[in-house]
Amino acid sequence: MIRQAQSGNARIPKRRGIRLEPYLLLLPSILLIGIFKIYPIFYSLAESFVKSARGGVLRFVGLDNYLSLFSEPTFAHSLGITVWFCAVTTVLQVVLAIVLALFLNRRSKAVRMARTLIYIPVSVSMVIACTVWNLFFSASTGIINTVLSSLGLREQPFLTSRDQALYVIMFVCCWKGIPYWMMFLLAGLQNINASVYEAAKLDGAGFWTTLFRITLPMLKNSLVFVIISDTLINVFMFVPVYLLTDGGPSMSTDTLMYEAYRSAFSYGNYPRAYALVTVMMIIAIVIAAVQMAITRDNEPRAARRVKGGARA
Amino acid sequence: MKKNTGKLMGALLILVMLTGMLSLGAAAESAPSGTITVLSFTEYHAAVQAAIDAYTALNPNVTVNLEEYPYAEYNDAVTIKLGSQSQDFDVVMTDATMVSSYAYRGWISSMDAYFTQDEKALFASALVKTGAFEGQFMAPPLCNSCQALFYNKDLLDAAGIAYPSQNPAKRLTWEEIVTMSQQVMESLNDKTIYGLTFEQVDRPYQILPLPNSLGATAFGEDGLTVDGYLNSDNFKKAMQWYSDIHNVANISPKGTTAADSNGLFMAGKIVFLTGNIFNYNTFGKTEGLNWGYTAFPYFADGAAATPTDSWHVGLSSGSQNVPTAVDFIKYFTLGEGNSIFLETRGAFAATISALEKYSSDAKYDEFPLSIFRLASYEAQNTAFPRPSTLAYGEFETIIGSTFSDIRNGVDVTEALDSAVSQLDTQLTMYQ
Repeated sequence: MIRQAQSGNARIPKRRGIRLEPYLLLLPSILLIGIFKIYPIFYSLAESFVKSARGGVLRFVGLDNYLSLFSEPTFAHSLGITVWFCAVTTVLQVVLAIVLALFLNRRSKAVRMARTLIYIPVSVSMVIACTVWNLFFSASTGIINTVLSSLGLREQPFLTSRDQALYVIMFVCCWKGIPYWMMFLLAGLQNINASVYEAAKLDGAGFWTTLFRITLPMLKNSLVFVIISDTLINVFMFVPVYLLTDGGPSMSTDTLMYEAYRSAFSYGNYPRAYALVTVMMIIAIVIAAVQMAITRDNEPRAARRVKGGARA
Repeated sequence: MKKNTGKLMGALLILVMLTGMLSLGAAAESAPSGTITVLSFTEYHAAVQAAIDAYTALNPNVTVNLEEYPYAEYNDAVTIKLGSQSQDFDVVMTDATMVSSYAYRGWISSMDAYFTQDEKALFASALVKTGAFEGQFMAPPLCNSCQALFYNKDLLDAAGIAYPSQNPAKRLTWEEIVTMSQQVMESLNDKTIYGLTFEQVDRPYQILPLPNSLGATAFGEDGLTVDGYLNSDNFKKAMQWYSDIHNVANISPKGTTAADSNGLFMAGKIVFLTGNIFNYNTFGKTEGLNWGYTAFPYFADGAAATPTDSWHVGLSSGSQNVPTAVDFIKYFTLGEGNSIFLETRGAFAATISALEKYSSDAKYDEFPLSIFRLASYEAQNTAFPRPSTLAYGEFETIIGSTFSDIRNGVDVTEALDSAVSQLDTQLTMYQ
């Protein structure tokens, strides 16, 4: 015993020594993340404080780019579109992904088949998806209007209507997004021990009680990840707007991300684009922080509830 | 003395030999060599490539790479490439309206050091001005352009309508075109046939002549003011007509793009098409298409305003091979390369000597080459270029979306006011 303790003590200094292997293994990832993720963030931030003058000469202007951005009607309009798109799409995607995951969380051949079919949109690239849906939603030659017309119903303007275009984009994003997020939630559901459901059943818990008292609380980790990631992806949504509407009609789909793209690559106004992207990044950080704070606050309460329940 | 004379002669001989070697070296240095890259757009591929092939045949030490983008994305591509101060490009095809913008940003270099006054005088003087920025010659013109109204003879025959005259003094009005289109569409009763469309639908090059015909312009004199111009009464009136032909009279197809217009005309689905004169080349080769041309129309209570503008060739500020790039630009704009380009493309010339040929050469008496005579007349009498502004790139993007909205039925006043608001935001960069 003493010998064991001695030998154990003898190993301690070795453990305290710096081991390089983990850092060496992490180094490529750290470098790549640094170059492609962290550096551009700081670069955008730095460039958002300068203005391009004659001859492409840059001069420091402090917060001017931000002040002029906040005074623009275009910025306020794009912010509104982004918030509305993000709120509706995230809620739709998460709720429908939960419903689908619950539906597919069974063991049968038919369910396995359905799972594969439902997952197909995820394997289609967004560019192809947009091209195909564009054919469906085309106002003059689209398949949907052809069907509507043959049924004697009124044809719809879809992507050429400022009242409908954003909802078409939401639809395309949901079509691709719901099955994607569903898979994360399905994995989370399959981690819940079946005995918990059996116990609940014995206690006489119905579907809704099981859903709100057992399934969703135990799915919390997956759900938090899905909600935060989905929100951030929707804040930075770009491809469908670029391919389907170009921000129109009448700027009805001009999100902040698309406005930043236009500012940089169509107008050549890079400082404004950097300021826009920085504002979006701050919005994303705030959203993520709020969501994490809300879910962290709930943890003790839920734990208290469980403990209280146990006592009762 | 003799010895000294001998030494002196020897020294002179060495000096002469050295000078000769140095001048030979200098000549070798200035001879075009190495690699240059030309940034261009796909629609001009055949013509630009033909000129490049001829140039490299003359200069076997030179390799010319051609990097191309579709026209619709060309401005964005140039903004990305040159905006990032890339050194990968030497020669840049530059739309007339973008010369000042590229020069202001420092993306293209002055050509004053490379073109003598005599050489500049070989170009039409108006185009030398277009290629200049603040007194410096930035980009020599490659070609000019002019628009005409093409029509389908078979469709007019079917409705018993006489062909329009080729005489520019008897050009049609937009109002007459609406009436004639309705007559054809009614008599044929075919839902796939339309009366009128624009080759460059929703693009300012062909749509701005509508307000221009009524005396309205998009910008004020300073090129930086749009409020009061872009939303003036006459501008709105012209845009209302553009909206009405798509939404009230329904003589023009909705949901089509600039890429579709010529195809529809060549398929016999369009009675009237406004288009660039170089289309004579393609239409002439289209089997089964019985076509004619007339001068660009105008509004009955306005004046003729024909879209005319040029393409220029700029020297990229990031060029790493300036001597060869300049040599190629000269060959392409003034030398044999220009003739090859114009011939292959069927484009309208920018040099005085070529312009003079249109009136002196008998081959331009007959259809369809007679369209160049019309273009010469329009260039001298009714030409109306696009606005001169540092913010043309921004303007083209915003006004393109606005025209598209108007075509889709958005209220004209609302659409133009929104465009003014967006442009005002972008124009602050230059004020």
